[in-house]
Amino acid sequence: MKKLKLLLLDANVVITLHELGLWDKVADRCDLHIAGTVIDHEALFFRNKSGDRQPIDLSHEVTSGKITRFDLDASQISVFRGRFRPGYFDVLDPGESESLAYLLISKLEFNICSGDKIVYRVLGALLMSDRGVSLEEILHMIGESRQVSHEYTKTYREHWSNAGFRDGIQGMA
Amino acid sequence: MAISTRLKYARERAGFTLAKVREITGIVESSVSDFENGHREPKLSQLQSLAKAYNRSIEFLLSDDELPMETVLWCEKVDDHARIETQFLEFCGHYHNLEIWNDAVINFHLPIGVELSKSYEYNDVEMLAKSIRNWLGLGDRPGVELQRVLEEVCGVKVFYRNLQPMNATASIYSEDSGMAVLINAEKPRWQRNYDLAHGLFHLLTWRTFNATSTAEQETLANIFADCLLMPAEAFCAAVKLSNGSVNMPINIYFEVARQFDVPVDVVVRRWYSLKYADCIDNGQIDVVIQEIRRMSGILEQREDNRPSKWPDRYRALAIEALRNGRISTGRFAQYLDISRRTAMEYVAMEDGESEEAQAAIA
Repeated sequence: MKKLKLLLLDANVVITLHELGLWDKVADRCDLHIAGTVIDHEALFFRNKSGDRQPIDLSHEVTSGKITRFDLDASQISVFRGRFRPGYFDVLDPGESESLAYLLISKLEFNICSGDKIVYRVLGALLMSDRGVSLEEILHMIGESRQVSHEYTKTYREHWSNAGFRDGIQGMA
Repeated sequence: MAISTRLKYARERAGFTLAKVREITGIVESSVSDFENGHREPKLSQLQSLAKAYNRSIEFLLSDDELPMETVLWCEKVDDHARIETQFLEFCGHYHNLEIWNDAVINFHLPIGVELSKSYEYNDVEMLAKSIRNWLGLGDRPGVELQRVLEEVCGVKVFYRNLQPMNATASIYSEDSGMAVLINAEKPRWQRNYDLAHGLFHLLTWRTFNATSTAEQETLANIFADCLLMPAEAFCAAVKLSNGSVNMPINIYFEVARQFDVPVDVVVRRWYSLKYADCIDNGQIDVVIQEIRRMSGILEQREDNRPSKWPDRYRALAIEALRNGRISTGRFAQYLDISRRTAMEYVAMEDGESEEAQAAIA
């Protein structure tokens, strides 16, 4: 079966998909690309329904080819950092910076999925709101009608992308 | 400034050998050495491991700016001071970032080095304490308000951590992130008050003494703290109300210490310095302090409270930044030293907020 979309997921989305029990389904249906920093440092555990801590180890899934890992060099991140005013870069997680930088330099048409306002805000500021996709939209595309919390909805994504667009116009990013 | 230079600086400032870095991060010595010599550049994931080990931000390691002046002034240095210093600097940097992201930088400056010469005496210090107390509007019981006023009005960053030895206190005054004091969390509140006043003296005289601390300056800092926290008139009035005689019974020292929220032994020193001025009998003070120590189990009845890990203002700024979409969940987790999963719960808690409310916030 042809995979649906090329997606960069940030750590919150990886954790939430594990908690919803939908990780395998999304990984099977979508072409997932995940930053090395998310794999090594950020998506490390989730809570199961009983609230117990369960480890996430994505390295096995990289080895098996279920997901694709990408790593950027420091100099590539420096170029990305240079697009913002001083101090602004630090608002992002390294995983988000790596994903957004990869989105900018890659020749492939990736979309980025996050549960973080700032990611959509930065996309808006970079005039790339159309490259964001909410978890709600992804689940809809793979035929999954599960309800998600507000930070994973299309409304939320659009709201914060618009806020970022305004930041960009006002020179705040 | 190349990343290689900054990596080396950060490692050395943290007091780490290459072998220690391998132990903490799993990155082998030859790789770290290659990064520092500019023979090879790190992947972002490796850079993150190094940044975490060195208590630095990735932004710091990628910066093109000149390396900052990072002087930390200790009154009695802690064990493992390199690690504690870099942590303290990191806390200050985080706090300053939160101020910037919330547009809440406090543009209020203490009068650093104002009208102070390098050779000043008791009276000069007393005058300085008096003018600062009046200037900050601390009233007759300054210990009650000092921390809040310094944090909220002057923008001084006050952190508490467990430190060894007990008397260790550190101060920073930096052009980048402002003024900050690090105080031992294991001390009782009244001793922390005193250490804060002591640290304030170092901030005020930062330029006067070129950010150094000698035994003489430590004595002056103690005199400053005495005078700042126990204004002469209010102090004498409290003693007379409590006693009425010049020879104080031991319990009165405890009573006055409670009123001013300071340690009992500094009340003794203050009382003798006001009563006998230039002919203080240190032997007699020691006798009284020994008696105070003997009686403290019965007479020291103040309730202590442990300080929070993070200043209230710092935590409020972090939450505000998260709510306004000015900081990522992961960064928020890092700044409050909580797990990403816990930070995600903060985001989910906003579920009830309307988009209109969020728009108003943004």
